Parts: sequence; C-alpha cells; structure tokens
Amino acid sequence: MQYPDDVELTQALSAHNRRFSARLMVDWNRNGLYDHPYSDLSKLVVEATTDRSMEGALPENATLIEGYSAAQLTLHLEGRRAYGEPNAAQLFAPYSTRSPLYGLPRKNTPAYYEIVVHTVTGVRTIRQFTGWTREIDASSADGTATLRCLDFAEPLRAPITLPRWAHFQRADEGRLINSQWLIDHILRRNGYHQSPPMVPDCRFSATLHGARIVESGVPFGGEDSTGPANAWTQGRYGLALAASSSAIQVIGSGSHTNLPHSNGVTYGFGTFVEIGGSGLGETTFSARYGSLDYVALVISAAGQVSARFQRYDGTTSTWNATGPTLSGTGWVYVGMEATVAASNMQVRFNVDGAITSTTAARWAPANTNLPSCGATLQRPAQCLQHWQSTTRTNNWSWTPQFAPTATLSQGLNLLSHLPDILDEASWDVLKELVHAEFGTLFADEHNHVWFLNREDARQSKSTIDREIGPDQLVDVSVSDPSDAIVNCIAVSSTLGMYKITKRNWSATNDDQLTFPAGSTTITVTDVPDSWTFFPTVPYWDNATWDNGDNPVYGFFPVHASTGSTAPNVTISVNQLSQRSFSFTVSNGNAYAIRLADKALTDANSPGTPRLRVGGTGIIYWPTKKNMLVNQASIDIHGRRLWEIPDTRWAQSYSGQAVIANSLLAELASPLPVLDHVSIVGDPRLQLTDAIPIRDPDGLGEYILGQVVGIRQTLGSNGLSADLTMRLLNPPGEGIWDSPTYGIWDQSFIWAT
Amino acid sequence: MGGMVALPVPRSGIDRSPERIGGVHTSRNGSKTVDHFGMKRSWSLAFDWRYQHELEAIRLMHYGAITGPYRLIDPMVRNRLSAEVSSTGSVRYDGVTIPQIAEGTAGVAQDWPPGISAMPLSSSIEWAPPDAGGVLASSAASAGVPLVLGDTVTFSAYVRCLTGRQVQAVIQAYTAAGVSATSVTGSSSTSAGWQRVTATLTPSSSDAVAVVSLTSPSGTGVIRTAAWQVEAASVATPWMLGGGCPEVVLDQMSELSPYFPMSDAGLTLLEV
Repeated sequence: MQYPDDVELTQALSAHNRRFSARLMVDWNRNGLYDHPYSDLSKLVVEATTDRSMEGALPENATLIEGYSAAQLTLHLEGRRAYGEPNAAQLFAPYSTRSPLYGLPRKNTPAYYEIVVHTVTGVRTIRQFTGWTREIDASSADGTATLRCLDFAEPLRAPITLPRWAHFQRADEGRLINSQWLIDHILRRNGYHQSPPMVPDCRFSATLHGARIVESGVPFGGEDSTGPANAWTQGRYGLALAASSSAIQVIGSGSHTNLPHSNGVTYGFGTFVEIGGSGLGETTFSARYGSLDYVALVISAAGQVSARFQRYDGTTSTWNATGPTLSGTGWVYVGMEATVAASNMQVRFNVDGAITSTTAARWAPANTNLPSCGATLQRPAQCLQHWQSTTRTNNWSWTPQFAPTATLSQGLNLLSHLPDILDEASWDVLKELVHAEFGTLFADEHNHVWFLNREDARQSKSTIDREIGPDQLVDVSVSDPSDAIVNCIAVSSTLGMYKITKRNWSATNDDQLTFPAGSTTITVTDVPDSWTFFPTVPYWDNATWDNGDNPVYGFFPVHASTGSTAPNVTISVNQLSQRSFSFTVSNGNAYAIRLADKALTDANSPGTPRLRVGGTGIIYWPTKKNMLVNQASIDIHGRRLWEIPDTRWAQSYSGQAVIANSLLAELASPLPVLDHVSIVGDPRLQLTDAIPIRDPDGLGEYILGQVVGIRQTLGSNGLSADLTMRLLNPPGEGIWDSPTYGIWDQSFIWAT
Repeated sequence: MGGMVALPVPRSGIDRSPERIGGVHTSRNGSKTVDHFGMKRSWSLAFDWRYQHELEAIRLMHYGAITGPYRLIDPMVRNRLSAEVSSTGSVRYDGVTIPQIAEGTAGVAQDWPPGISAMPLSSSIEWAPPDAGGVLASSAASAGVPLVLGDTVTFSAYVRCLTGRQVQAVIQAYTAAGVSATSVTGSSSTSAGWQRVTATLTPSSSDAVAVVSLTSPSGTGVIRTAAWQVEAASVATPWMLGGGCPEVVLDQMSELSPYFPMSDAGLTLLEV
C-alpha cells in the first residue's frame, strides 16, 4: 500500500465525506518534462479506471498469487480545459490540423495519472498509473474521447536474442543459472534496471545477478568446470556472486578488444563488493593483453584498494598505485580509473562516491595481442563493469543518484542453458519465464517493475496494510471450487549442456552435396544449438561412416558422375556467428564432385550425404519425468493430477522440484478465492497488499486476504474499487473475545 | 475581459442549486460515504415580457458573437473571489498545492481566525515569501475579478505575521487588453495575531479586471493568511465564502413571443 503511515491521508480516506481530484499528464513532447501546453489534461477527465489483475498459468480457479499483470488505464475525456480551447474530440482528432496535437505521435506517448486527495493538512497526490498511451477513440458527435493506456508491457517489445550459453558438459547443479539473471537481462535490454546500466564506452559488463554470463559482446564459451560452484547472495542490488572457498573467474567476451594504447586513454573499472571479513584473498578486475600485460583494480583481503599495472618485455615489471582502505561492513561501490598521461598514470579511486586521486608510473603494454577482460573474485561481488574511453573521465558505473527501476526476487527456477531465442518479443519471453516458475511480474503505479517468486509473493506481506470494515465493504463473494485441488504434480526437465566436440550441422539436400571444379562457398544460417564451428573438416574414409559418431564431423567426396572416390578436395569453415557459418569446398579436379557415398544416378536413390561440420555447442540430455505428491490431500480428495507444462524453461530437476513443492503446499488444500470484493475506493491500494475484511454478519468476522486484482474507478459513482483477493490465513485461528473464533475448543489455534 | 453588461431583471424563483460532482457509496451496513470531485452551480433565468433590444446581449452571447469567456456576477454572493481562493484552501477541488499563486513556498496550515465565519474553516495558507519580497496573488490577470465602472471594490484578508515580517494588501487593476493599470496598496500588518488588512479601489474607465494579492517586500519568515474577500463596497464587511463571479457558459436559450413585439426568454447558465 502506498503511504501507509500518513495519518492525515488515512483519516481523509476513511472519512464519510471525501474530496478527490484527478490529475492526468501526457508527455506529448516526449522529453520527460511534460511541458507541452496540453500535457495537463486533468480538467477533461470524467471517468478514469485502472485495472490491474494477474494473468496466471495455473489451472483455472487455482488463483494463487502468480502470473503477470499488465495494468490498463481507461480514461473518458469530455469538455474543454478553458474557453476557446478544442474539446476532447477535437484535441485527439488525428487528421485535424486545428488540433494543437497535430503532427505529434498520439500513441505510445508517456502518460501518468494521479488521484489528488484533500486532507486537513493539504493535498496528497497518489500516483495510480504510469504508462504509455495505446489507443484513442474520439467521437465527434458528443465531443468526447476515450484514451487507453498500458503500463510497462507496452514498451517491453524490444526483440531479444539470447547468447548461446550452457554449463560445461556435466550436470552440476551448483552451476545453474538463477532465473533472476535472465529476467534482469531482458529488463535491462528494455531500459529497466535493478542495478546500474552499462556506462557509455563499456567494454565488459557482468551483473552476476544469478549467472556468470557477461552482458556485452559474445559470451566466452562455456564455464570453468573446475572452479568452485556458484553460490548467490543478496547484493546491494539483486543477487551477487558469493564468496567461496577459492577464487572464481568471470571471463570477458571472446570478442573483447582494447582501445589503441595512447595518451588520453582512460581505463575504468567498477564493481560492488561486500566488505567485513568475508574476503578470502585478493580480488582483481583487469583488462589484459595476453596474461602478462594488464591494468587492474585490486582489492586485497584486508580491503586495501589499489590500481595495479604490469608489463612484460622479457622481464615482468609490476607496480601499484595505492588507494583507500575499505572499512566497516556491507556492500560498497569500488571504482578505479587510470588515465594515460605523457609522464605518468593519473589514477582515481571511487569508494561509494568518495573520489580520491593519485599517480603512478606510466604504463604501456609491451604486447598488443590477445586482449581480454575478466575478474578473479575472492569476496562477494556484483555489477562488474570495465570501460575504456578517450573522451570521458569520471565515467563511473554507479553514482549515488542511481535509482533502481526494478526489484527482483531470487528466482526459484534454475537453468542449465539459455534456450535458442532469436528476435523474440521481450514481453512474451518474460511472461513465459514468470509462468515457468509461477512467480509474479508487474509494474507498480510508478512504473517500477517487480518480480516476486512464489514464496516472496506469499510472504511479502507479513504486515497488514489496511482494514476493510463494514463501513467500507459494499459486497463480497467467495469461490471455493474443487477444481482448484491438485495433489500430484508431474514435472519434466531437460538439461542442456555445453559440449566441446559435437556435430553442429550435416548436409542434407543435393544443393549442398554437388560441387563443380574449383572453389565454391555456401553459407548456412539458423544452425540450432551451435556455438563455434571448427575451421576445417577432415577427410573421412567412406568405409567407416555410420549413422552415429563415426565420424562426428568429416567429409567424403566421389566423382559426381562415376561415383569413384575423388582426390584433391579440401573443405574449410568460416564462422559467421554463433548460429551461422560458411564453408568453402576446394575441388582440385577437372570434374564435379559429390559429397555422398555414391554418384547421383537415380533421383529416387540419391545415396547418403557425406558432409558433417563439427564444432562446440549444446547437447540435450533425455527429458526426465518425475511426480511429486501430497499424500494427506490424496487421502481426502483422491488423486488429482496436474502437469507443469514442459516448456523450454523446464531444465533442471532441482529447480522444477522446488517450484512443484511450493505449488503442492498450496494447491493440495487450496484456500478459497474472494473473487469479488467491492469496496469504497482507496487510491493507496496496490497488488499483493494484505487486507483483512470484517464482515461479521456476512461471510466472516475476520477474513485476511491478499490483493491479486484491483479495478478502481473514479467517476460518477465516486471512487470505488473492485478487488480480487486470495485468503492468506485459513479460518480457525483464535481471536480473543471473538464470538466466531474465540471458542475454547480444539479449533482454537495458538499463534506462534 | 471587461465590458460587463447588466442582464435584464429575471423572474423571481431562480434555481441556482449547487451540484455535487461525485458519488455516494452504500456499504454492507448501510453506511454512506460521499465522494466529492467538484461543486458546480447552474442558473436558470427567465425574462418575461421583454423587448428584443433588452435581450440582445443574451442573444449575442448565445450565438457566440461576443468573445468569451463569460463571467457572471451573482449578486447573491458578496465575495467575488472563487470559493477555493476565498477559503484559502479549505475548499479545494482542483490543483495539487494551494489555490493562490505564490512566490516562495506555500502550503496549508490548520489555523483559522476565530469568530469570523459561521463555523471555523479548516485551513489557512502558510506562506514563506522570498527574503527579497514576494507576492501571493489570487489568480493570473486573465482570471481576476471583473470590475464594473462605478463599483468601488474592497479587498480584505486576515493575516498573521508569525515572525513579524510586514505584509500588505494590494489591488492591481488591468485593462481589457491585460496591461497594468491602477494599483492600490492598502493597509499592512506585522502582528503575530490575526489581523485584517484591506485595500480599496475605485475603478477608472480603463480598469477592467482586478487581481488582489498580499505582498511582503522584505524580511524573513512565514505568514499565515485566511479568509480573502473582494466585494463591491468601500469598506470591508464580514467574510463570506466566495463564488460571486464564476466563469459560465450558456447552455440553452428559449424564447416565446406571447404578444408582438414582446418576448418571454429563458436562459441556462452553467458554471464551468
């Protein structure tokens, strides 16, 4: 609930005589300032309805708190703001050059709506909706317009392509990706940040919000299979990589490049680390040439921050610029910038916004081969960013002004690999992800995005937000169908693993089999499950080909006409992307060749292709099916089965089991749903609020529910709200002096 | 603005009911909650047995031949400021801060001069003018109080100078074109208790509209003010809630001619 501690506001809203006004602002100039002369349309608002409800993936009627919510605002506009101005219909008429909005885009324009409440100590403005205009209907006859707006679901349409990523060959549950990383990754691509965005000139960024995957460039293939397992802890913003028994590597993109080293180049590093005795050893974050020439941000086990420079020109020289020492406990931002000057390095340190500077001897790498970027972490860390610039200094990856626009729970789902997602709509992928773990995803009234996992959604409200008493309750109805009972849940899981040698592609049709004399290049796109392609394809004798792994990759050429084995053929492969490559067949013969076990003499019997391209990529383990049950519920209701859909997000059994057990705990004996609670409106209400209803002469003396849907209308009937609620506590808990729940028998349950 | 024209005397029994915009909730136990979004009045006027020239001004407005907006001086309401401005925020339906236009910062305070109204109102304005001096004005010039030649107007406001900084009442008149015209600076106060300051203007022929304000040319600290009034009188009389000259639109005009050349006309005015 918004502003729960504002006493005057509470008094004003629970009074029997209430005064409101509506405030509608539209940013026609799209500059964030809402400064167009017609930005303020408050005077035209006749009726405004906000609608927030969860769209879930569970069986119908099993309305637990799960799903995504796309809030809608519907505004009915009438009249004109002042004498001489156009009316609502004229204002929104798309083809009228007399409209002051003519020529401006009307759709997908930022807008917000607030309810102003008049209290004894002045007005309070309560944001109800922040979103984008979506649809405008104007009626000429009565001069009215209807404006519909949608919240964050509207801009979340950026196409998303996920990098190929899977864990290294074995099913090590400790290395699985937490779904928070993926939700965060997609939200970041759409401008919602739970942690600081990438700075300009960023060359390396790894949020570490649940995976060791970098977000810039092509991720480095695979993951270190020998280091300690990943463990996640809560950082300053979202998940962070926890300290472990030994150093953890986070390695940069395979395509990392450094700026040409010269005077004026600034190398910058920034990260959040946890201080307070948890450092095991030295943490370094470096940009390198090979392994011996580097510039690095170093944090010692004791918390000493420094800049380190190393040069190898036959002998190794290493020198430091010492910065501040971290003290206290908790999370702190640590940044370091080193600018190359004519005679030295200008070094700046940033500890939670406090900047100090020093100098060090000038650094120049002796080698310029094998550029890379990465960190070796020996204390909890998150949000690694490295930047290089010739124009920017003090380009810190965090400033105290940073305000998150998203808050994400730790995900319950654990992923072994990133599915093959190429240019899919962000919103659709997010919905799937949230459904896959039955979490909740919504934007609040201020356009702050919330992802709550099942447990957090249920437990987020340990405190009661407000009470609906008989004076505010207009109507309530309850739904308790047996369809909602589920006591057996079937789960599927399909692990995907990184494999260092696999067949990525096989020739199948005749276009890819027959090659004239000379050199021929063919491009192949949309290769599934590929990561890298080996640059050569070896010759493999026809006699040992089978349908299995002989060979994993190779080719065998024959004379296209005679079918005899053809000499003088080589094949090279050029990787174009993770998903595409081209191959060049060099046919040194004077005749055409075929890459098959025979010549094409009969179209009905073309023979078997003999071209297989190898590389690294993802392989899938067989799908595993498991059943989780709740025997106590089966004893009462019989077996009632439900199967968690086998989606591309059902990957690890450990993740699926956590989700299924959490669902079983509730679905085995589901609590009824208050599907229609009609109350006197309250602009402070939010999704997931915990609200007791007192209806002693109706459904019960004290019903504690959690809001899963709100439809609030300000209009000719005042401000009224229709809520959908799910019960939080089963009836039967004892309440002192209650005629219903205060009976001293075995139904009285002592609270703990 | 300007060019106020007297309407013909209407038939008695004028319906001028205020309409509450909003709704009533009836809860499970019958308890009622009333939500207000606004309060608007309408006037149904009837003119009997009139010559056409007496109705000419009404007809011109109804046809849109006269550029608006139109203001109605309702002689039943003494205070010509709006209800919001006159009650210094106690009555509020629009806006997000205070009804007056303030230089410096301003909010509302739960304070009202005792004994000046039928019942104490809820709020005064607590105003912190800039140290270099500032103005707390009733409105922009275009929405000021229309002046009628020959009607002396008096502005009065209750003030408390909590820190002793001086505050004075000012009436600034503008011409129909919006150019500054006559200005009157009235009485002032530095008292920490409630005191009434006034200013009186006798309009010249070029004065069309008046904007009233408090000014505090120097000093520091905050001033509270309540119960503003602009009335057609040469001295301030007891405060009443405002609403005496709202902006109106013409809804319907009816005309029946019972006997040539006379007409019975009807007119509905709606507060915007």
